[in-house]
Amino acid sequence: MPVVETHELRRVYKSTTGFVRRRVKATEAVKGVSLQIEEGELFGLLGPNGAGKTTTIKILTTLLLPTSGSATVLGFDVAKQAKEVRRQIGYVFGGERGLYDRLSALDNLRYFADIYRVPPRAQRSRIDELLELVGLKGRERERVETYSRGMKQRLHIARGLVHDPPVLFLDEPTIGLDPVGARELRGTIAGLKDAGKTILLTTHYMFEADDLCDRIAVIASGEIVAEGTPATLKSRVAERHVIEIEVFGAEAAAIDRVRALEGVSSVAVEDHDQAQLLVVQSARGAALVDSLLRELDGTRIGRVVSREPTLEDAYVDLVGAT
Amino acid sequence: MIRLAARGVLLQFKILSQSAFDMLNAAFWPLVFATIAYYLFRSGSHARSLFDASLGATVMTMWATCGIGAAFAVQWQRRLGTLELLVASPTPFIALLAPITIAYAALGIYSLASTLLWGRVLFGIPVDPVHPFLFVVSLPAAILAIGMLGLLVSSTLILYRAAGALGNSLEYPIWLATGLLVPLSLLPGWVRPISWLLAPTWGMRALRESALGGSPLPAIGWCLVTSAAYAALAAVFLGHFERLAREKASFALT
Amino acid sequence: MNWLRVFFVGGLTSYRALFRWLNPWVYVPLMLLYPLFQIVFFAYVGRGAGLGSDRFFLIGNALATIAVACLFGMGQVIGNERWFMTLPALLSSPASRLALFLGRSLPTMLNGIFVCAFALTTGSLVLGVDLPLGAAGGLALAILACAFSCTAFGMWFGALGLRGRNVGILANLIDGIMLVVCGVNVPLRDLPGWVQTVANGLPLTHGIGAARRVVAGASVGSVGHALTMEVVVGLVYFVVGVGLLHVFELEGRRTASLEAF
Repeated sequence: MPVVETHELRRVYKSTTGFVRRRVKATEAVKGVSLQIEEGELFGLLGPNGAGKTTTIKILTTLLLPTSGSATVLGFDVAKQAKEVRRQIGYVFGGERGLYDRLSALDNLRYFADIYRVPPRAQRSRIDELLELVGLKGRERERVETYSRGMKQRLHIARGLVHDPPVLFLDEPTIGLDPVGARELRGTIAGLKDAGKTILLTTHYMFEADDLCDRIAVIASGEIVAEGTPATLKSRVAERHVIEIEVFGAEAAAIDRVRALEGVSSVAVEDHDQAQLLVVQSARGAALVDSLLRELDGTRIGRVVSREPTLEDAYVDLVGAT
Repeated sequence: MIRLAARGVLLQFKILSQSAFDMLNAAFWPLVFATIAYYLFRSGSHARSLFDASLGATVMTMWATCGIGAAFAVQWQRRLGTLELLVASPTPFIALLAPITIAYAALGIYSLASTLLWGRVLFGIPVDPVHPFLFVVSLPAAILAIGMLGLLVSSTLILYRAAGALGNSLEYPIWLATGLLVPLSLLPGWVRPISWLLAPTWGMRALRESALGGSPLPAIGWCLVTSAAYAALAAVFLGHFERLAREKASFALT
Repeated sequence: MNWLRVFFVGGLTSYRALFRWLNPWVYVPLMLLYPLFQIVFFAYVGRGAGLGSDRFFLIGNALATIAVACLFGMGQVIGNERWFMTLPALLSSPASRLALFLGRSLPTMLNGIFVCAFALTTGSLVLGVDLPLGAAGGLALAILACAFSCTAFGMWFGALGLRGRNVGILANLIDGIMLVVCGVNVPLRDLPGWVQTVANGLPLTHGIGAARRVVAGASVGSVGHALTMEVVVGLVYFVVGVGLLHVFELEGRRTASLEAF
């Protein structure tokens, strides 16, 4: 039986605009998301900002009720059996907030241990273990406000684990961390998976999902657009070929002409200060470089790189298609 | 559950004791009211106890800090980013909010200490409660009752944020209606029943009777009864709040 | 011309932007109801003590509301500037700093005057205190003088706001102290000698004294000295306030603390 399961999950936000004549605007943040996470899996929910990742996690952590559809964690319904769900899950989100900065790490952990009903006798050893695990041993009596961002993030993880939940929800845990800190945190997360925890991780870093996750679901505009192992997703674009062209001030018309070329499946434009990077995905074998350069005649061109597709390209392709 | 609540109160109290703003309010304002009362009581024709004035000023401040603290408690948690985490925990939200408001009321310990010291040193008011043991018991009873009233206020304000300033402006009327520096007999008859519903009335009475002589036990009892009533009402409001927050996402938890 | 424009137009628009109190849900309870309740409270404390003078407490507490409105009003102006990150832009403008800040003080003073007048009117109705019509002129002058001196004092907090974050705590303290020593609720003569001396150097003290005498039947001429003293106190605070602004602003620029806020 899957540990986490959602079925056609939908969440609509209603907002009223206007003062005199109130209009109700309904935004569908999550449009029928169905997924299943097996025990011991590290499942990644990958998508751009605003895709519905956080909404999905908030539904699974019982903070939001779904508008329709259902979700269960360990067999408990998130809407109707919230208390049981809450006992079994840990919720960790990235960023600096979510801790009492005037208190020490130890006080923070003790407080959350209390509210998660960790028996008093077990608290001391449990907290000790956790501090060891996240590498904060020795600094636990200092006030959280003196911690670096990375340390706060690690304390967050410790807090989420304080009641030893079998299921963890990590919402963009490495956001805002420096590369070293992020790498350390990823190591810790991988360790948790090895310890048998079931983890749902949301992120918008493709390499992170690729690195950590057993399976990934790509979500865009509230819908799952692809699901599978990192290898499966990469194979979606395995038949593709990628050409990256550095251009300086390409006109929209020129880019449209490139898009319209036969054999081109997608063109993504990245703005880099003065230059733009055109990432052109095409079918393998189509010798497109000449045609591309012809369509861009008149535009100043820099480097041209021809390469194999990566998971990032698969992601862009999936997300761009919606 | 009791242990959780007690540890929660101690923790929140620790946070508050480190806040200069809250400490200053708790220790300074009762001196303002007490000093005014001392002078007025001394020059007035009715014999009023100065010790009573000290107690009145203390309870006034207890209600003020608790009332303001309660009004901002949820907002403060929201700003810290911990509100979400508290709601996501298996412990009912009321059991997490109550320690906060009780901790604010507990700052009254500082208020009492500073007022009694001020009264003793500058005005020669002796500190000799008639029933010292009951006096010591009355203080936590008053703290509990006022803290729970603060909880009720807090749970109402979560739902009706605009009422915040209105609630704050009721400080003086509540001080009046609970007989802190003014004998209730002076006020119109219809105030009496209202006073019975308000925690500071019983807290003040418990402290006064144990300090000046009388029977504080009924008042202590009423402190407990009103605490329970406030808690029950607050539970209703908070249940409503959590439902609305989850359903409509209307009370941003972040 | 620019000076006047900055004074009036600049003052009014930014005041409204920063003065979140204008939300009726906040303004009515805090600026209209709260002072009224304060008056009634202390009147009853007086009754409870056996001092039969509602009028004493009415005048004292009504004028004390000017202090709150003006101290906090001016203090908030700067505090809010920083909060909205407009302070650096404001201080770097070529317009006369004085004109700018005075521009801001006019609405504060007007608010203080209005709040006090409202409190006096409603307070006298609720308590049943008769305020003789002949006293109106003297009262108005006393209120004006107090509004000026309190706003000038408020400038100090505005200036201190350039330097540190905790101006609110200080203003809170001063407010409490003034409630005790300026003759608001305790007659000046009952206070120890040295406290009276300090009180005479604070805003409100002279104005409240004048107001009480006028309401008791004294002529405006006879309280002329007290009114003048109130204005003099205000001027002194004003000069010091401007000096403080200048000093703190320079220091703020030197230590880059303005940007650090």
